[in-house]
Amino acid sequence: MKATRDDVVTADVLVIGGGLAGGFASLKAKEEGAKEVVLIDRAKMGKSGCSAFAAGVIAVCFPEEDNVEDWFKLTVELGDYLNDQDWVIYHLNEAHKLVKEMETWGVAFEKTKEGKFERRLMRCASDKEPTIKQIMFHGPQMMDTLRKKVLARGVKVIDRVRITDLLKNDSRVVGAVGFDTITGEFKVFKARATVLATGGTAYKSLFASHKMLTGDGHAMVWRAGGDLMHYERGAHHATCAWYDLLGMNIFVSLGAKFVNVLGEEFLADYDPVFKDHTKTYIYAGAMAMEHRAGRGPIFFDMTHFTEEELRKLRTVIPLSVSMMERGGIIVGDKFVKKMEWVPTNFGNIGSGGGAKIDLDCQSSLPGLFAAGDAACGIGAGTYGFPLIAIPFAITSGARAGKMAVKVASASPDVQINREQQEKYYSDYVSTRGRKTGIDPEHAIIRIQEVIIRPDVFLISREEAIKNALKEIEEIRAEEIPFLYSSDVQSYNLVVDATNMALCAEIWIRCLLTRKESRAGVMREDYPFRDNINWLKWIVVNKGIDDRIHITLQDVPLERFRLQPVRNLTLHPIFEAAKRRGVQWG
Amino acid sequence: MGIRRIDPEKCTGCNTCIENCPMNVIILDETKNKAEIKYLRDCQSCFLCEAECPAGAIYVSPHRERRIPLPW
Repeated sequence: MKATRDDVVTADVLVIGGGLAGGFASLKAKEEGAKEVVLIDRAKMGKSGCSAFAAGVIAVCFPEEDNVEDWFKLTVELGDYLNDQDWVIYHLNEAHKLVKEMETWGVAFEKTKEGKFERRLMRCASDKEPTIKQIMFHGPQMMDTLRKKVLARGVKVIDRVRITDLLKNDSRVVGAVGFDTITGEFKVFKARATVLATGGTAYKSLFASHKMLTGDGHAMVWRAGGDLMHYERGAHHATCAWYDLLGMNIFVSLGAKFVNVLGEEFLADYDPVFKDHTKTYIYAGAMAMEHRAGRGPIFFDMTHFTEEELRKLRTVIPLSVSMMERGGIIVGDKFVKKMEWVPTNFGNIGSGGGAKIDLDCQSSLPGLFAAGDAACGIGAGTYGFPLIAIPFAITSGARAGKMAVKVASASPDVQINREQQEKYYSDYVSTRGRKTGIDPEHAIIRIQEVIIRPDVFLISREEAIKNALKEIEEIRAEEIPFLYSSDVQSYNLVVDATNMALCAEIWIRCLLTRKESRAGVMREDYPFRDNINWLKWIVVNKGIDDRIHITLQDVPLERFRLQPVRNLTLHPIFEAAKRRGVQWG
Repeated sequence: MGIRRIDPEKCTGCNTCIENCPMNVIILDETKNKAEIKYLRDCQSCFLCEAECPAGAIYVSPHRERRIPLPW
């Protein structure tokens, strides 16, 4: 390992993370006149994070043909009025422009014979909102095109460097430190403004191709004393129990059905309006209830798909089709088997906790902006409006890049606090130098075993959440400080486990705080959505005692246009469970 | 089970799989000029290596490599 005390990479705008949000931030920073824009990716920009594996569909409002008011209302209603409504309006008015800009670069979208975007009714949209539609794209092609564009625009892309902490001088963020994931070399970056676009945390859990998303950015913000928000909200998802398979959204949009072990299409009882197009937390909660009633396992059925529908899948998500062919699910031009499907703790991917930002993507730390899943789902409210994560990565990334340039331009040359840099270096040397102790793989599995319990992340109860908290505290105290690594590759697992454990504790403490059931928070001891007492944002930061501090902020509804009804309503999952004869409470 | 095989007969040592793997699973054996699987347990079965390999030398299994707890 080499100390780079005199080898500091300097940037006007430093972008940490090379997915859609980071890519857009770097491009827009360049367009706005930043001279030196440096983008860091822990793998290869364009091939890491969520974006390269995004499953083919995104929700984009086209004001020239859609009813924008319908989009606005549905977004706020699905978000249970915890949205920042100003962000929703900004997002809806910006996303379509950026999508059209991507098309001019050569990003391929599915088109009709007339050359228009091919659009299908989106999950959670009914005939009452006929313009809430999604468009289809090709994940890998989109990110390959973005990478080419970023390089052509003159952004300096540094691959295979993992950022571990933010550098601060007084309260201002002035750069970051990390290590080269191949050589292990310690790296230092100095920047006038920094954009965090590191994604969320998926806890290396069951969902496919998200194993590098371990909450690095959230952990960095917390350690630097910044605010995180919306961390109680689990981004529920469901996935194949057998294979690493992506594409549930597009499967559903083409007519796939969930059935229980009795062959019943049970989701019609849990959501009579949207049925198989329901919200992801309803999928997850319904699966938990069916399992509780002895009607599991749950299967995903596409055996009725036509050759044309399969052709569409081959075009949009070719990798998933390959996997299903190898797994014997698809033979020739036909789905021949149903697949077992299970809910998964998806952390806060596409919805939920992250750095608290304002409309300019400014975090609570001066000099630091956040975008995509590194930021909290501020526009989405309680629910990642289906497929909104990708367009939010675009709009927030572009916004963060632009606003970072303003801050960078207004700033004199910033200086790194050498004492802090030295401390991070000595911490890195001592942590990486540990050759005996606890295998990080052990800690990762223990964390997963705690957070994947159905009475913690699905239909939760106070006692179970408190037990989970106790166990995560034990892991953080008794395992994390003693993790060892044999080489730089396994050191990545040490960082993974450290950040995952911190994020898990923050999530569990916030879940314990919200004493109601709202969207993905489904607490059978508090089964009502409480619009009298709980129209609140939960904000987390590190106090001077280095502990997790939680504060509640009233949603600033007085400045928003749409107003909720102030009442108590039984969460739909508990209402539906009664209809299905499932016991709870 | 993730990446299972890199066919040494077909591999040209072009580095494409190594450059594209998000998890640093594959390395180049410089003496043989062949790509080799080194960190199998970190493979996330994303298929990028197989999809990008210009020589068709790689096979990825759809089964998971790591043991990940199920909710039940």
